[in-house]
Amino acid sequence: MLESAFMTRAMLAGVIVSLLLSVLGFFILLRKMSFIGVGIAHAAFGGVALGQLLGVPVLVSAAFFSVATGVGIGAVTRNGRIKEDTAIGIFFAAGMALGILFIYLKPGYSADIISYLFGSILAVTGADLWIIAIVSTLVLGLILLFFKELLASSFDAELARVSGIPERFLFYLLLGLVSLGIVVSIKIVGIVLVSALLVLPAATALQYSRRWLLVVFLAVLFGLIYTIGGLIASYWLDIPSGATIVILGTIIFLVSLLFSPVRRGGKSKVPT
Amino acid sequence: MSEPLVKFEGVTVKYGDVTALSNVNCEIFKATSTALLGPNGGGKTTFLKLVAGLVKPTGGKVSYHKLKRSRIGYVPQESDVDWQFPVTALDVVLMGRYPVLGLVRWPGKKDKAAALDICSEVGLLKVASRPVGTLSGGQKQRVAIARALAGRPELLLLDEPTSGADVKAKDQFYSLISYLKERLLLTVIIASHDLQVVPKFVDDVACVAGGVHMHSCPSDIWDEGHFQRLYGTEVEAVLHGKVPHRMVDVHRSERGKPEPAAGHGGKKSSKKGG
Repeated sequence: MLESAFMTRAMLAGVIVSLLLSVLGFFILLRKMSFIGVGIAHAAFGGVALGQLLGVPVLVSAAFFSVATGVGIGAVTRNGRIKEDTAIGIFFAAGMALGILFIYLKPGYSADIISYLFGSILAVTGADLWIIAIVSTLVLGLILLFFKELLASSFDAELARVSGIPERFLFYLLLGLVSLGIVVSIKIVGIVLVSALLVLPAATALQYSRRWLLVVFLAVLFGLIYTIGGLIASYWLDIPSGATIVILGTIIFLVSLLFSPVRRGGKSKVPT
Repeated sequence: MSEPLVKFEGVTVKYGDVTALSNVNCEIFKATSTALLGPNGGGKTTFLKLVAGLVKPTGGKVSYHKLKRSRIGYVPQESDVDWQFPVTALDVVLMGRYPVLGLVRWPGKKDKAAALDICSEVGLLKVASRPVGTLSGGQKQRVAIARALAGRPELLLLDEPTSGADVKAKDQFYSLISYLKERLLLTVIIASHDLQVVPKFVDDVACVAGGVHMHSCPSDIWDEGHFQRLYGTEVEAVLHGKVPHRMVDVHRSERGKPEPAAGHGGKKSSKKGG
């Protein structure tokens, strides 16, 4: 299977992306912002379509759209003007609407847009792999740099602010990094399903431990299992890679939920 | 007289059209304890948040004398915390050390030892390694205090820390705060409806109801008329020695008069303020 150059690229990209999204998803889940991934990913559709219309690299235009959406959602909800779910619903729809408009304005049929919507392992080029690797290194580097501050501000934003942690900066930084993480992942799992890969690994890991270090480790492990397992299954069964990854992740999450040591053990038997 | 640690000069805070505090002038001195008393919505939490730097004055200024912001410990009334968060009690206490450590550097052995010492001081040592979500309400409150202490604060702000606690738990809590205040030379400001705190603990009382009136001697304020003006309801003092042990809302007590707390043994005043 790995003899195929495209599959090797897809596998490498999948490993990097699952590592990236699992770590980002840990913070997104702790902040109860799971739905924001859906909003950012769908806004990226507008960016992808704009890139195709203007003939500029779609990852660049998608990154611009996604970061603007992520930070925009954060800004309007943080100021208490509107609730987060309302803001996501509006930005989500606006991104999709712009995408549809740009596709309409572009002459000819945009077959490539489907690969962005649903993901395609065939779509990962050598250049894409480099971009994914560089952006992921940058994002993970910044996460590592601010990890303990992100942890503290995710636990209690107000206390973090009092103790001098730049909580507002970290909030917007996290949204920006999540946006970039989503953009570099959409070729693997697609715009429609990328938010699942953001949420599923950490959600599964939280069924096994209440210790943050172990949760992060397990989230990365589950992310890798979903992506590698999903890509292999999609290759052999000849079915869409993004859907296979998400279905595999959902099955493992549901099984974990049923047999969760954290939930089954109650308060006194939390694994150490 | 020494410089005040915190000084309010003509401080006003407005939330939109609502004035929470108006033209407040007061001083908080080092190594003193001050209770903020007053009705709900009177501005006690706003006062604490002003000191903590979480709220900016609409008018006037709050100044600090030789006090860094990072040396202020704050324990909020209702922490907007998800208690299923995957951290242990020790992890939370260590978070109080993060600002001291700076970027990149993680807590080392010394930091962990210091955090465990604080856990020991507040009676959390046995549960320090347990996930914070598995602790009782009182233990979580102690975790919040330990976290505040981990940053080695000079000033500790407590916002209604004993709401919902029973009499014994309140006694234990205030004894702990008294002990920590003396041992660590802390300046403490505590917002409370719990009038037990005043005779047992504080040096000063600030009555907060839109404005702030400082009383340097707690016993000065034990006048039912004063409390009726402050709380806007008829109150009756249940005496315990020289100072009231608690105040009772007369209207509520007529519907179902609460029994005095066990072991009071003090006389009950028959007068009603007016």
